[in-house]
Amino acid sequence: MKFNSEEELVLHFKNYFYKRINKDFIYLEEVKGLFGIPDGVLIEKNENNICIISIEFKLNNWKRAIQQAFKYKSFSTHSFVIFDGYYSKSILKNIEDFKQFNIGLGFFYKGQGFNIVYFPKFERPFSEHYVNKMLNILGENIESNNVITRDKVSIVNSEDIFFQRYIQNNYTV
Amino acid sequence: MKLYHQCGYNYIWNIDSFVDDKAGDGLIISPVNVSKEKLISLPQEIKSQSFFDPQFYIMDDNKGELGTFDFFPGNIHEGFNTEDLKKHSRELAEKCISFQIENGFNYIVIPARHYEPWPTGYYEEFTDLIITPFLDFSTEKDIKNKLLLTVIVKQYQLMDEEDRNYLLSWITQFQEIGGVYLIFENNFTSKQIKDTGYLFNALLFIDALKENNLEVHIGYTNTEAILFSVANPDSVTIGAYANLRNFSIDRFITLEERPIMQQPRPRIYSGKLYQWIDYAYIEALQMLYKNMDLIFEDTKYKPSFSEPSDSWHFTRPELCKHYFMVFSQQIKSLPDNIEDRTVGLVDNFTNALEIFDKIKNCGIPLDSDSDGSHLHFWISVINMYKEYIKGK
Repeated sequence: MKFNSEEELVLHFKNYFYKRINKDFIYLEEVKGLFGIPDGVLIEKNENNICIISIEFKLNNWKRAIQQAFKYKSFSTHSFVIFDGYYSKSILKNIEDFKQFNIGLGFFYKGQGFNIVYFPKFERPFSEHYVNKMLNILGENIESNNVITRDKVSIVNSEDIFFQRYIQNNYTV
Repeated sequence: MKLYHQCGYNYIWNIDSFVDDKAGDGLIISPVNVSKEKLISLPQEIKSQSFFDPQFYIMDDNKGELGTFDFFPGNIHEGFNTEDLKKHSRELAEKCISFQIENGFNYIVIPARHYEPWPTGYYEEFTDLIITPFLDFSTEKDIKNKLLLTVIVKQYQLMDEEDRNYLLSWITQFQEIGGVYLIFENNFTSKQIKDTGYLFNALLFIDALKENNLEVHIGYTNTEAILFSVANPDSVTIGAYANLRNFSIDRFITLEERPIMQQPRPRIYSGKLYQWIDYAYIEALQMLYKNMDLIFEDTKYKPSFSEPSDSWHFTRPELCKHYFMVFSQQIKSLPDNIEDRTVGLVDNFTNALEIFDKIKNCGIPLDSDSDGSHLHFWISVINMYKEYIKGK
């Protein structure tokens, strides 16, 4: 079964994810004012560390998705494209492009959950400027006594982030 | 082939670039942006290398500084209409030509009126109410400056052979004119034109005008000016903002409320790539591609590009002035011989595509407004044009 629109894909993913969300996560939608507009940004944080995972949702336009997801690497530690799983067969033929540009590749299946077929390596975001902007946006979106500022946090250089563990432990397909 | 600055908002950057950096061969002065008083006070050596676009495009709207020019139709009275133009056309022509002569401009420009779409009878009206009074006055006064006729060519006119031929025969009927101030109006949404048919027909149109011994001065050009050079026009333009590199009638329409628009992203022009690269890619390029000198030419403005990116904005003069210098050098370095020019450009476009491949191979998938996708179209257009010239 395929999704009727990108909006439907985003909505289903959000509902699916929110049910399982952990308090250490922040999820922002359609974050503007950066390089590109990620459909979603997952922020995993503890007192001192932060991991920024940007997500682009697409039904099937993989070339454009890679270009968009690459832009998010300016301010993200990981950048993903999550496609409608209905199109997985054709998109998987291009998995090497995702690896070449170090963009995560995942599929969300209508009514069946999702899996990640390529988890990108950690990369330090390209732009200090956009990271600071991202943190400012984040600060505006969380409780004032828990504001994240650049001098309080460091970018996590770790493969052991919750999102990855979560994904690996929750395969449904 | 000459290069003019298409002046607009912040035209002082164009003047600085022309005078201090020796970029370009003159200015096309825009009265919507510069008052009559300021224009008159410009140094004569600048005016004598420049020409003046009277900008009669929207005759009943004296937007911006157009209100300071007594020959602008909308200044006759509020609610100016075509009936008024019939009464005052001779007077406007006299004043407009006299102004251009008194200021020592290089050419005398006959203005055009803009409509969307062209109404039935547009060319007859244009001839009777604007061109004839201008030509009559010019003949009576035995004016020696070359007359340039402003011609706006809409996308559909360029693409349709019958429309194109009609327009060519209409233009060439005026024996008194020495050339055309040609404006291609289109509605492409990409930053570069990626339409082989459109670009090829533009070359045919320029070539047809040149065959009729008319000078061709193309206004509002972006990087495709380089491609147009294979049809040997007399001049092309550089402009500071996107609306000066692609004609938009919105520049001449007063809006009651300023629309909320997303600001354009700052871009840096690369002559080696024939492309404007989104500034936000710079840090990725520095990190992954490393050899930035292979992409961006050295100008006195280049060192400022490595300043922190939060200080960058699309209106920073360094971005424009860098483009003016690099593009001006590119135009100057074009071979005079058209065959050599054509061969050289295909080589350069091919080299640019190789650099784009290297950028991609080092892990940067540039988007379609920063990549080299337009160059494939340009190479095809040049090959089509070469075949056309061979078959003539």
